[in-house]
Amino acid sequence: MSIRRRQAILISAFGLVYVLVTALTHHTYYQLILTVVPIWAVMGLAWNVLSGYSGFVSFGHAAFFGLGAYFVALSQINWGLSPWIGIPCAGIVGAIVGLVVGIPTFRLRGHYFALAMLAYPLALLYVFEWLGYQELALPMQRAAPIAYMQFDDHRVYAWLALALMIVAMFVTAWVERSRFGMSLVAIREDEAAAEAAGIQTIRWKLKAITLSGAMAGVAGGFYAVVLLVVTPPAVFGMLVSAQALIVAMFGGVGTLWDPVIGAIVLVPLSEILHAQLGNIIPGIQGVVYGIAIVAVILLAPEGVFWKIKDMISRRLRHPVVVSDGQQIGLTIADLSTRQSPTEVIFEAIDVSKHFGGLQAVRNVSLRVKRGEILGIIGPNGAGKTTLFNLLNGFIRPDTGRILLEGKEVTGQSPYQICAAGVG
Amino acid sequence: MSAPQFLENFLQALTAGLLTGAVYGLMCVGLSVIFGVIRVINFAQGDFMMLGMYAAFYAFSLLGLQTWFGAMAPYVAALLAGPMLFLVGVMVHKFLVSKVTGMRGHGLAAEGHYAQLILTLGVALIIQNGGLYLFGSAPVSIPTPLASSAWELGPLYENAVSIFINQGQAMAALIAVAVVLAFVHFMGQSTLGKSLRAAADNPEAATYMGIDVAKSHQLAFGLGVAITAIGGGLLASGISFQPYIGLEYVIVMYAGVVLGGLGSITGAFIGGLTIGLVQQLSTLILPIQLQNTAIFVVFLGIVLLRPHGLFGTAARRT
Repeated sequence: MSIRRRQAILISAFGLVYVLVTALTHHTYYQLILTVVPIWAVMGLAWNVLSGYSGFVSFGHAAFFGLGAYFVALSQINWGLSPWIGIPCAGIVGAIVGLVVGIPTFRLRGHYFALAMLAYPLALLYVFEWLGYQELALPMQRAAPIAYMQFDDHRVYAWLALALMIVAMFVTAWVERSRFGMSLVAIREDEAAAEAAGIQTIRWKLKAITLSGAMAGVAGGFYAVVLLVVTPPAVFGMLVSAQALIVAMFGGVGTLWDPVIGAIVLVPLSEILHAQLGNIIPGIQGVVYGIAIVAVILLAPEGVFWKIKDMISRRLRHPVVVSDGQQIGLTIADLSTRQSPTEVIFEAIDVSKHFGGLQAVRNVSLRVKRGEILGIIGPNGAGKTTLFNLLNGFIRPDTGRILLEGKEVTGQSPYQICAAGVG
Repeated sequence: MSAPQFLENFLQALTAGLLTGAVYGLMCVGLSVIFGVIRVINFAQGDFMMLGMYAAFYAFSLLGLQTWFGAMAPYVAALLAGPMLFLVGVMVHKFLVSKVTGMRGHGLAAEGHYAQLILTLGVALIIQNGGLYLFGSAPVSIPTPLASSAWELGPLYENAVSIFINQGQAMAALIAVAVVLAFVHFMGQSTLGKSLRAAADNPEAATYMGIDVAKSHQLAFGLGVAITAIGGGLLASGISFQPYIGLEYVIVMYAGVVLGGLGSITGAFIGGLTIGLVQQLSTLILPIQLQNTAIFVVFLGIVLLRPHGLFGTAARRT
């Protein structure tokens, strides 16, 4: 059975069980929990698409979530737009915001990226308070409740949330299998190497944040419909971004099922604790999430799910025959058979580069003929690496030109030069 | 608004900005020490600041400092928050942060940076929400007699332009500057300070010179937390606060530290001062609710345009 089919069957089976469990739940509070679990799973999946695969950790998914929630609420209040249309539009809002945020922010790496992402939802929180949207209530639509996604039977919300989550899971499965996901993982492992291997990293990163923003926007929009009231701290607050991250990290970063597992374990746990002990211990939800993160990082950084699976499989392990990996072939070209040894295919003319006052490479010219192997030698600090970085596009030369098969490649990006045949 | 009126508002905002900025500068120095020595982005720094505020609050109200120190009691309480939070910082480092930093961090992805960020995010959530349980959600403040009196400078121009300097804020700023100077002296002159800098500069070489790098990290974390806590304590003499206040200030601090260049102590102080000015001057043109948004926008601007600080130089590594 192909992985794709097995995945589809697993997702369907899970959905079926969830539908049945929901159908048997009559207490409205538990119905609400069954509704929010898939919403947070969608948030976790959204976070995962960006941060799990590409390694760019976002502390700001609340920005997309909150804008989605406010879009659905405001469009219904001001224009009478039904959430059936509003929620997909919230996805578009999230996508656009993702793109707008991504273009400047992806110039940053590591913790700079994470911190910059944190600033977006917090800035939006104050803007929405200033605009006077401290508390927006979605109006009751008694004339046409179903057209406005208002149901007497609260289980319908849970089923809708489940449907959303299943769509998000299939989207994630598609990302994981396609060139999209592989490019993101390559970026996570080593961005420079990915670029040198011909991946246009910025394009894939922007696609990831756009898709991730769309998913988070939809989740936020639906959250507004379920809770009926939208306040800036509830949708732009730190806890929203943190929850997306924790739900995804709890299971283990970078796979399809993990955010779902994280949501199923953590959301009911924190909700029930909040309901039982919320009066005595306010903020218990945050504490639960905080402890969950700390525990995951210290005890099972690869994810609780994988840790447990590992422990079980270690117990059941049979001796495994390690087969020799595929032999890595090395082809040594027979140089003498190549045609016309005088044809120049790669040429650098008077290339120079200085860093501040340090002249790393000065007026280097070289020609590589077809079939020729050209070595570059020099002592430490001679500028060999700088020269290579100039040739493959990681550094732009101050002066000089680089020609590949007679065409100018000076100043092109590494992935372009790679695609043209260098490296 | 007439010209003298605008001038007065501007000078007033400038003074207020410099005074609050000095306290922000102190808080930024704390954060910067941690980053400078351990290379950890401590996300929970704002919440340690909040703990510093409550430590000062309880020291003030429970120890009866007022009978001994009179009007100076709130500032003594703020200074007392330092040693208390030093212990908290050392504990947090010992049991949590040290597990993902130093040599242990090297095995993890991106040298453990993500693990550190996310771990300290968890710590932040626990402190914030645990604080809600311990301290309650109602805002509290430290009654400061000096805060209700001011010196008047002026009139400077035709009986119109005069500046009021809040004595409470001025005292807080003065103490903040004194603590920063003392700390700079400590780092520059004392053996302990030198060993901290050595551990930051080159952990391996420092180890060969007989410096206990792990201990240095612990000390740096404790000191960083303590300095920010004193800043929080000083801030607490002027505003009311609740357990969630840390979040706003974590951005304030990061803005200042990034502005001054991550890891530089004097840079961090100047950065914090600048952020204080931005915050107060923004009130001249923006509604007061958007004060924090102005800081976030400035922060984003700095990070995006000059991620290595205003004084730093960029070096891209491939």
